[in-house]
Amino acid sequence: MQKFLFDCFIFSLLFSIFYCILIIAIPGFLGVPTRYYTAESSNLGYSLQEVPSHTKIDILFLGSSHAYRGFDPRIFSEFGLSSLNLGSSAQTPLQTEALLRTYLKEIKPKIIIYEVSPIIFSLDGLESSVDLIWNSRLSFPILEMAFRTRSVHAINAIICSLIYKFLKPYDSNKNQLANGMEYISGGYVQTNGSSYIEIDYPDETLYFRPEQWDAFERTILLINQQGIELKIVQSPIVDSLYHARDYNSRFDTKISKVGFYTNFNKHLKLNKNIDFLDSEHLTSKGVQVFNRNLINHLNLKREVEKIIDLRK
Amino acid sequence: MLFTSSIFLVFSVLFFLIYWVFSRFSLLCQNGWLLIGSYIFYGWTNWMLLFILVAVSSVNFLCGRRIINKSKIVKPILFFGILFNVGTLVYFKYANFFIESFRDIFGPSHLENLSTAKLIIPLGISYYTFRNISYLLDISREKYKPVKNWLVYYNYVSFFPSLLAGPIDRANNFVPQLILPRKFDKEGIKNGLRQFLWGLFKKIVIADNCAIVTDAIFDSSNAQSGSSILVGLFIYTLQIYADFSGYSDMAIGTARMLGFNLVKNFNFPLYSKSIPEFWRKWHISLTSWLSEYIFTPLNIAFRNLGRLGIVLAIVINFTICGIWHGANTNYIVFGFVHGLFFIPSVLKFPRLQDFLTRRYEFVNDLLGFLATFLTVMFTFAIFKAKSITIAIDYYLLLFSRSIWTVPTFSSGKTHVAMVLLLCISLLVFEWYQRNREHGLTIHTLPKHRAWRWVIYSAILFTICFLMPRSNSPFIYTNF
Amino acid sequence: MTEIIEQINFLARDVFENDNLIVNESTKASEIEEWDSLTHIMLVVAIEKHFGIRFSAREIQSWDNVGELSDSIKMKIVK
Repeated sequence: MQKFLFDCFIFSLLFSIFYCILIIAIPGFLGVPTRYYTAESSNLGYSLQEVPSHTKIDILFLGSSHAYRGFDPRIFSEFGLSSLNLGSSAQTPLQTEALLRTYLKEIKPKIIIYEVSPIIFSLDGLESSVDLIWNSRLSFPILEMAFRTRSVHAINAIICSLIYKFLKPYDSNKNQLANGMEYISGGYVQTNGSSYIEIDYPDETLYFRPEQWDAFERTILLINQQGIELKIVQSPIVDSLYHARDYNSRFDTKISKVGFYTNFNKHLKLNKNIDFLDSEHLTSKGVQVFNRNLINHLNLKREVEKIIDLRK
Repeated sequence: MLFTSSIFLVFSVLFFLIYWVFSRFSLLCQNGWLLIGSYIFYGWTNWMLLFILVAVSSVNFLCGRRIINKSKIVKPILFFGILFNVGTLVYFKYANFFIESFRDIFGPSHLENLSTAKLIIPLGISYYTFRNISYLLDISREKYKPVKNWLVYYNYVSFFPSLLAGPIDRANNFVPQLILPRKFDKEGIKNGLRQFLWGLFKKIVIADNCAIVTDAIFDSSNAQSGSSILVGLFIYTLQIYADFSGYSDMAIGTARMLGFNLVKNFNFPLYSKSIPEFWRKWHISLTSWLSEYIFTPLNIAFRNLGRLGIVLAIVINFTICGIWHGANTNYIVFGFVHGLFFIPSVLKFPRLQDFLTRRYEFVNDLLGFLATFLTVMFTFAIFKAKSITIAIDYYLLLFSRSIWTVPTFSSGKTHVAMVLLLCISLLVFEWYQRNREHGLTIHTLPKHRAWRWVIYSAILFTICFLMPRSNSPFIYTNF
Repeated sequence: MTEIIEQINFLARDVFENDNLIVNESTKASEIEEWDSLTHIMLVVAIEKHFGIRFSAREIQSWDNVGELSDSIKMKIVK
């Protein structure tokens, strides 16, 4: 038996080395987009670099593209509120949890505004995992998250990113965001364009993946345990898309049970042609309207003052 | 626990090491650890299911010991035992049906997730119930003596490699292996590992990738053309084969690594030249179980009805085979239809068959293969459909003009092309291996260890690279 | 007893459609290509008709070879 075990051990060792080499050598494979293994430009890379200069801020924004394209820290600073936007593409609760566990103690926000939408609970989170793995410092929560996505591609991304980072340290000047997108300090991504373009988003069904819901609950618990004020919000989308969904009230009910939740589709009347770029994302004008409404509706200035008083 | 989960990887390595260390002590240690391992494996997803497993094992163990009393068969005990087993199976399968209907309302059914509604359904119940029933019947026919040692019996019922998806071993094959200590046989273990690797490859690379394509095609069947349904059926046939035979290979491979020899469950059935031959090679442990405990008794009972009796016995046998798969009308129809396909073989035309085999053997074989493959492929539409009406929709599409159109696939042409390539490669590769024990049997592998390691590495690497995601193809890249 | 075996042989040749078939006491079903579960029952029916007897299901499933089959027939005839 000893010889057999020894053979297995040698094989595993050789295979692991061979595997790491191949992962680096092959940028992508049939049906698997390149960015699974090598990260393309991402706003998260920029925003995470701003974390050291954004400690003890008033507001931290989390969520998917609704967040990083929907909350502009410049508007909030007009009201005297400092903020950082750590939204990222298709960010699901698994990534939000890993992000917070890695950076929350450093950032120490007074309020967290967590943007949610039905879709994030039904995704497996692989793209967002890879985004986070490549752009964040590697931590145990991120390893745990990679494991929880239940996809070997996340593990491959970790191996790939480790070797890449070892060979070529991250160069922030090299990355460029996609055309028409501009990174604004504070984590907001401004999209140029003011006319509405119809993009066909496939049909959705309301489905809460157990691992995503569990991660969501763990995130809420973590935020509460840190004594941070949590505001869960749903960003506004185009009216016709919103009303085409038959599960809105079910979704709202489920989310309201875990924390303070506001669905801004109910509080805003936006104009599709002026305020929206596509059925899910706002123009700069739309962001202005949304953010100002949010600041007033949630009474954020007062909330921050209350927290400052409490801490004294 | 699933064979393809990472927790099974950890479990199996630890279990394997301790098992073989214990084998140096005593048989009791070895069997005791085997039972503990089986219960950990089964109870991992839901420990409450263990109660059912233990309860069923206990009832059958006690019944088995009392069926023969002073060389007389105590029929009431036999009836009670059979009724108990069938009753538990029917209860849970129907309960399963209702729970699944609820689950379909709240979530897509193509996503596999053991921690959701399947909590309540005892996994593997169809398999271990059949093991118990065959045991009781064999005792009543005096083909087998009751097992005296409870540890041996509980291991027979709960043996974890075959607990969830077979093969369904009989007592006369399996129990003798439990009574003797298993010795560490390096070649046997390596062969088992090879078979496991091959099963893993079939399941992850072929079956799971096919599933993405077939789920996309068959879930929105209204928008599909006959041609895409046709392609979908071909892929689905390979998917079911790869999935099921892959699982069986993993089960048999795992068992071999523990020193056990299980019955073969698949014998390269897709190359069969007739439907009867197909069923002799597909899910062998189930069909031979049905043949011995359902078909033969029926056949004997109907023997005075001549060929009609035989046909009746076959049709009933296969309808039950269909029902075994699930509490749904389409499974029953699937079984029934396959039973009907036996009729031509029963009504023999010896002179015609002789003529065809002697003069045109190759053409006869080729036609037989095509006819069988296409028949199996087309009947799988009933299997895949969620109801009979949906199955009829598929057939209407298949026999409409749209079968001549170019198929379109919502999961993407590249992915479908890759999947088709994988399916055809599997068919070709296993054709060359069809006379071997399993797809990766050693005789065809190179002799030098280095080359074999390269092949294993290539297979493992392909598994890691081509492992599909659990998402549907609708990925929100812009989100 | 040999007479019974001879008669079984005669019936088997007809059922299995093989004129060159020869069975003896120790012949098992697995040794003959044409002998499967279907033809087995057809043989049993032929035997029952020929000897004017009837077997029980248990008896039919209990034979391991032709010799045991022959013994069963013998016991039935004697009765």
